[in-house]
Amino acid sequence: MDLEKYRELFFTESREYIETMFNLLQKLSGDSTNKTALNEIFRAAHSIKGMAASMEYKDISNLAHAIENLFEKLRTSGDIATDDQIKEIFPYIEALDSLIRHEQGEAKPSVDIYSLINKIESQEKAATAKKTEKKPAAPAKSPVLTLEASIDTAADAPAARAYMVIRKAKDLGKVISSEPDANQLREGKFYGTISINLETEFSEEAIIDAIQSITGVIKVTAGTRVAEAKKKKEFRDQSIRIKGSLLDELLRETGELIISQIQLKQSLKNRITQEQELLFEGFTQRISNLKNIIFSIRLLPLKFLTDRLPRVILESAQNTGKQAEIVISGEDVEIDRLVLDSLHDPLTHILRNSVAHGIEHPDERSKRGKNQKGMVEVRARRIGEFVEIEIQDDGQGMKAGELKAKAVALGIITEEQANKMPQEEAYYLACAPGLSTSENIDSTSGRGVGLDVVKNSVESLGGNLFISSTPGAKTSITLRIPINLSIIKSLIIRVNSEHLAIPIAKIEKVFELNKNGDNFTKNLYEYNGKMLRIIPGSVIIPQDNVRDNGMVGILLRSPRGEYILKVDELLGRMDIYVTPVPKPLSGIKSLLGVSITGDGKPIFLLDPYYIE
Amino acid sequence: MMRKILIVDDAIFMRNYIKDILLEEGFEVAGEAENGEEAIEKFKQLNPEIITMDIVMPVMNGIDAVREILKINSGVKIVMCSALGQEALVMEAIEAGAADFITKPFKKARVIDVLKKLNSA
Repeated sequence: MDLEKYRELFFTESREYIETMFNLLQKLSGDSTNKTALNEIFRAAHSIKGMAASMEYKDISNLAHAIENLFEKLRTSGDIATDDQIKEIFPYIEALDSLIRHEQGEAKPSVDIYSLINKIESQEKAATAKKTEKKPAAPAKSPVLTLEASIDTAADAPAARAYMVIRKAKDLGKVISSEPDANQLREGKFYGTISINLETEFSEEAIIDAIQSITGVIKVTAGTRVAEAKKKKEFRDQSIRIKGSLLDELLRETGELIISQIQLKQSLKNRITQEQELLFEGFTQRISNLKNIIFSIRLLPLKFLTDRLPRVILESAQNTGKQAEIVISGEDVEIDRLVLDSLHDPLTHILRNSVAHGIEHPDERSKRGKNQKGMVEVRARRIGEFVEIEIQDDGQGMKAGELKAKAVALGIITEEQANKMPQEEAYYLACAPGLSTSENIDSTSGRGVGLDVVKNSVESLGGNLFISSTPGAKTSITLRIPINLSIIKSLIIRVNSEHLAIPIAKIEKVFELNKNGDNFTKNLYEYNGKMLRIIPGSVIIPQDNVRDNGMVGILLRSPRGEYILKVDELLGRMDIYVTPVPKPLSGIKSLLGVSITGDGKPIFLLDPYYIE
Repeated sequence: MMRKILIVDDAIFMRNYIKDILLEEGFEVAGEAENGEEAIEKFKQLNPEIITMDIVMPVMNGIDAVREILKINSGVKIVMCSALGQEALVMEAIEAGAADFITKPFKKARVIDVLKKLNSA
């Protein structure tokens, strides 16, 4: 479990307890018979011990434990502590306090924990201990069987586990005697096995069943019957940490393995015996299984991402003077690590938008009969190979009319198109560059990370973005993303001697460039009545001996609008099995991924949104 | 079918810690209480089938609460949450009728084992 998030809570609570202990210790100096004070200090030390142990702060836990034991003795022994004894306790609490502060970052205290604990323990022993009594064993009357139970050596509190066996045995009959007996157990005198003489009507099987079900019991003997509990694995789904880069390499190698397999299959096509074909099928299946296993190793629950979202809402709300809360569901849905990472920015942006532009100011909301606090719901669910993440706010909804007007003003659509456009479609205009950043560029949304970038990111992952809204009531944005890294259908192009790939989904059109002087200058090309920027493919991969005479144009889109990529040749379509781009190229926005082809050459998959 | 659980501990820290483990495993956390007295109240209100009960608490400790609650409904499964060195107290709780116990610091796998066992009992 991730202990980090409990740190702050630990410090807050333990510091409160320390304060309490100091205050009460003062009270005790005045009146050392104050039972309440003794009890409360005991309780405080006990609580700190428990929390520190959970946080794995061993020193704090051990010291707190020693103090707790001391006060346990003081409150139960009935002995009255002297003023001097009470005075000696102050430094113990101070030491505990300084250990906690040290965890918070202050200087290491000059405290020798072990000698301090020894000192506390000797003070504890000085308080008189209660006497224990021993009960004589009752004489046996009717059929008695011997019940023996062994407790797992790794069990917590084995003596208490053994006690549970006695307790259960009492339900099953009459416990004549036990070795060790209850009192010895209470003193902690237990060495792994407990033997009970039980007067009972139940069968040996019934007794074994009953005792075996006790947590920690690994072997039971009832009369002549013996049963060993199956050794349960202590950590069932143990996690291990491995470097993310190793996983990436593993995935890459598997990708290459798949490619090798395809090559082999191709080359064997006509010269394979039936037996070999069967073997080959088995081979293919193994590789496919391997791929699936690796994909699932790469899966992480959405929680890793959604845990950071409440903070985004909090900050956005504070920055805009609004009130908002977030409700998240479906966070155990798992998706690929890379996809998860890539979703962080889009989700953050959508949430900020919800608060900045969706949710109204508290007064406005009251006027509309809504709660002053706006609600943002993030709902994730798995649908087959995809995950759908819906972000819905109960704000003012989207204004189709305004979007249309702005789009017309920016020349994105004509007035006629705007008039014919249904409301549901108009919402998508918000994804057009220039429209996606609103007038109120505030600190939260104004960084040029518009909805257009969000849409592009989502589509680069092989997904889709859906928008819907009810004016005055809500806005809902749904991201539909593949769970695993996709196999992206791509177009392979040639620029001089380099092969590159472009996702087909992002290609608007492919056509032959017409070299008539009129519509073709060096940097602009007239297409469909528009003058578009034309970008030579050599811009992407600078090469020597560039002959910039390619005649194939690919119509693509960037934040600046449509543009034409000029390439030499189209080589065909291919399903590119995308693997993460290795460092140092991984920072390049225009590279979506890389795939290895049959001849071993890498093909880079480009993101046309960022080429220019 | 996952049963309803009531979490009783006087430290928010521990309640959150346990709650996280339970929710992750799909249990339904019916509510929380911070001392023995509140535990009894909440028990009457919420009717959980399982209770995780801290031992040392103010106002009323866990063992007394176990006694009172079992008087109301002897079928409730109560898991004591003990700390190191409290074996004697745990035994007292078992004597009073607690079904099982887990010790702090909790090992997630152990907590899940114990609770799953009680859930199917």
